[in-house]
Amino acid sequence: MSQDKLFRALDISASGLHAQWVRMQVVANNVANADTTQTPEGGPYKRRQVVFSTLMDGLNGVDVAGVVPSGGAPRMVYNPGHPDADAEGYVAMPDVQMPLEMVDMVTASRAYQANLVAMKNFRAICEETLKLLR
Amino acid sequence: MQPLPISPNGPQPLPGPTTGVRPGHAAGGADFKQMLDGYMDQVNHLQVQADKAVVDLAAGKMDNLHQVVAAVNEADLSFRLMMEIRNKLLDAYKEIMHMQV
Amino acid sequence: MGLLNVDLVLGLLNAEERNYSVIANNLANVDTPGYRTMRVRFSDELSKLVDGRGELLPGRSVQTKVWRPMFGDASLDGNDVTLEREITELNKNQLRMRFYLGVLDGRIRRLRSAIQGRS
Repeated sequence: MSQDKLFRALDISASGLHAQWVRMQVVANNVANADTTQTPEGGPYKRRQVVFSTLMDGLNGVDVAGVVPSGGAPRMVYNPGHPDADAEGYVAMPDVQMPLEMVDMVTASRAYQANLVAMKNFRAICEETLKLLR
Repeated sequence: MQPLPISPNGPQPLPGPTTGVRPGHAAGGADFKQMLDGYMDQVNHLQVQADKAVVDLAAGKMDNLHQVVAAVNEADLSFRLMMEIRNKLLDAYKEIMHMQV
Repeated sequence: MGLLNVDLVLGLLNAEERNYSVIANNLANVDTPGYRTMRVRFSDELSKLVDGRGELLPGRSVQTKVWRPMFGDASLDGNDVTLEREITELNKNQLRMRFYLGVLDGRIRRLRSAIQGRS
């Protein structure tokens, strides 16, 4: 019943909503940990980003392929009094840059809303079609 | 007066004209009856198609809504048109029966 | 033509109502650890339940069963309910119900017009 293709546009939009939702959570996590110097793996928090994927053959919406480290180097900040300062007094801080995260958050929200509009619109069109049965 | 028989098996053909038909007009009367029978077959056929489309949609075999809605509408409208034709025919019949000869 | 061939449509409406309850249950358990999304599906393939005219075969009815799709994106605690999925399913459920109700409506109207002799 749920796996049929009749209202596939809804599934496609739903996958878009989910993808942007995950993206927003990743951004929130980056922002929350912008100053985190301690992690169980050792070292400061590493900025993460979300990776999306899809199958080009057909209309398959979007999948969250993974949440991966961006691979940036930590920012070395001079702060000798900090508990995690090294021998020279530098602390390794996360490679999170606030302006970039804010832009990402806004982009993700807009994308989320766009998916929402697509979903609502499709639903409304279907209801209009169904009115023909009256 | 006999109303148009509609049985659970589908609409039955109208009773054909039985009186006062001159040989020269018999062919015209038969054509009219055939036309009505043909039309009723078509109404039946459209209804069957609409019912099948409903099942297909429920079973997940349709990939859009408008085709099914169009099929249901077509069946519906052709049925209503048939009812109107029937009503008009009955009205005409009543008028004829009331005519002073 | 079946004038009031509603058994099939009523069966389909019942199936959608059951799906609706299941969706509500999923939403209620969105935070329950280990809870897996449930869905309703037809026990038999619909094409096997109907004759060539699309009407229910005698003695057959629309049966449903509950199953767990086991989506692959469960969180660490084993729960795989997401709001987007459930809201999507809800939308589809409501659209299908509206469709079946529209078909039912048309059939009742047709029967009424046939009985009255005038539409």
